[in-house]
Amino acid sequence: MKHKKLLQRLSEFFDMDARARAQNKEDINELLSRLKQKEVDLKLKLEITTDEEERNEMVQKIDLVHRQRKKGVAMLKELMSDD
Amino acid sequence: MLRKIFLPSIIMVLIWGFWVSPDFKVISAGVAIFLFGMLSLENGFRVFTGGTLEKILARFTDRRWKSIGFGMISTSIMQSSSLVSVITISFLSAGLISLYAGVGIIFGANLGTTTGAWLVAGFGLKVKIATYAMPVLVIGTLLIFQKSKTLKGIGYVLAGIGFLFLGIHYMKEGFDAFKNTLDLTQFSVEGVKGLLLYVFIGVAATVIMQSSHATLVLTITALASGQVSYENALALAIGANVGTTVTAIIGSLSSNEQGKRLAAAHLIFNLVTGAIAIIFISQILQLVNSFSLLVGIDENDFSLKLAVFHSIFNLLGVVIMLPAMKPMVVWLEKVLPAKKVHRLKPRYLHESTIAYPDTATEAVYNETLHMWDNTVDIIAHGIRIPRELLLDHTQRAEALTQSFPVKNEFDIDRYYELKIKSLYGAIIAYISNATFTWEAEQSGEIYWLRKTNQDMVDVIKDIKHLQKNLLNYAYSPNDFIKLQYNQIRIHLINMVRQIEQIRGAGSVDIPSVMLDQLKLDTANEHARQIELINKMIYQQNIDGDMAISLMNDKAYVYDFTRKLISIAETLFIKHNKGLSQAEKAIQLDETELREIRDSQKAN
Repeated sequence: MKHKKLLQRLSEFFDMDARARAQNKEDINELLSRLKQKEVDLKLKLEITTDEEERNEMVQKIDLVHRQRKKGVAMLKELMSDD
Repeated sequence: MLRKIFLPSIIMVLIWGFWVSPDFKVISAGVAIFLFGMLSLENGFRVFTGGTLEKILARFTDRRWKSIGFGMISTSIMQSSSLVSVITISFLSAGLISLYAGVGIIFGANLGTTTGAWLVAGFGLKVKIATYAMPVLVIGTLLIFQKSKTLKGIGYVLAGIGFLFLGIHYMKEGFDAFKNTLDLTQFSVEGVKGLLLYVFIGVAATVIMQSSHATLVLTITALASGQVSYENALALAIGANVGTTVTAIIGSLSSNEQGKRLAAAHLIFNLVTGAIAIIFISQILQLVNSFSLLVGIDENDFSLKLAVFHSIFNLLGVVIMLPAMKPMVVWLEKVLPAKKVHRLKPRYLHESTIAYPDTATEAVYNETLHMWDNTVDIIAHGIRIPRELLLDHTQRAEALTQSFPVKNEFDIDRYYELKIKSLYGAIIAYISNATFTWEAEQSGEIYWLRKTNQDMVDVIKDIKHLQKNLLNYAYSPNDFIKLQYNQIRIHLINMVRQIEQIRGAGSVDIPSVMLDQLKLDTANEHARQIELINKMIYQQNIDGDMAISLMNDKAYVYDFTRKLISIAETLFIKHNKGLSQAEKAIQLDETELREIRDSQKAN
């Protein structure tokens, strides 16, 4: 088992494509967590904002971040399915 | 500091001069009108650049003998070498002829001017072209107001000629006071001293009267009445030839270095010719006598002999100076160099970086960033906000527009010439100089960077158009339109700030979110602006003309804010090496952004 895992790691190390995919997955995960944090922050801000215009802008921004997150999740799923 | 006090000092001295001497006032006005005529002439000839006149001139001046012939014939017809020389200066300044051809025309003009002496001495005739100055001025001005570009051009040329003569007329009027003091008998001196003295008097008289013709008339009259000896009259003619160059020198004051070179060539030619005539005066006199005898001129007809002398020494000058024409042009170009325009040099496009696709792409990217910085500079100047304040987020945009109202237009063309065109040109040249084959990835990147550079140039053009109305409506009595144009400035300040924020976004911020947000804001703002303009038209807050200007300018602003976004996307997202692939790919496309806007509207 140990040898098998070691071999897999070695082949991953020498396979450029696999390495790039792994890096990409890592980046997407990291970005998704940042986007999630941003969405949470915006929602908290929205709760305390009373100005109608500002609220509308914020709702739009939340929608934007949410859609980017969805896009990121879809990208991640596609990468996983390729693996 | 010195430059700041120079102009006010000159104005003060002039005012003092006007106060003290009415003659000085008339002479100065003459010089001013003359220079204005030169400008008008240049404007007129510029209209025909690249057209028929250029072709005609090129055809008549492409060979040395042709340009000399052209100068000779035109001067014989116009009976004014000064006019031919100033027109030639304006041809040169407008880039219609080469300096070499111009010098040829001047040489020819010196031959042509000798026909004047023949006319005066032989027929007592004096063609006064100045009589036509007034009608020419009126017709010229009438043509300037026509819509046709050609008629306008002809109008400027005619008005220019009219002003030239009017200027000369005033200069003469002003100098009239000094003219009476020219009693030639009081300077009667024999020998070389007398010769030099009369040459000097000839120069002075021509400068004062602004006409070598007038000096010749004066000389012939004095000769006939026995006021001066024949030898002294010849010296006066030599002096008149040198003095006549003053008109060209005055004319070259308002022209570029080409005009100055030509005036210098004119001066050199006439000085050398004059010097030759002085040194070899006895030989030339013998030649005059032989020629006079040959054609049957009476031995005592000094007036005609003077005309012969005038022709011979000018012809001699041309013959002697002809081989020196080319070296003289080269020398003049060296001693009177074109003013160096300090164009911005590229910072990153070096020979060493062009060897490999990766380093070359990086160099183009960095140079494009350099160009972006200059574009921001132009935007700041265009909306009349100091750059450092424009980029300072602590300064409220509204307050800035209040503190820095639009007072004048910024010369965007010049700035573009100095700080953008050179960089853009260098980038294009650098890309095309690459000897390797671009790989697909770099080729794509280079394509986008080139498009970004073009977008920046377009943004600058838009700003140039916009700034006219920013100034026009800044002081409008209509508060609505004034406010709208100020809103455009505020919008642009915020736009540039947001793009610079994306540029400097750290790890906490997500540049893709910021740019998508900017895209959304821009689209929302555009929709809101259209609604607002319609409302203002409906409520009659602005009139039709204002509405059209505002709609056009808002369209400009929308167009160029989209270009700014595209620039930001290329420079700070897609080709930003500091961002991960994930951060670049997460950006929303047009459809997704529209869906957000639509869902917002639905709510």
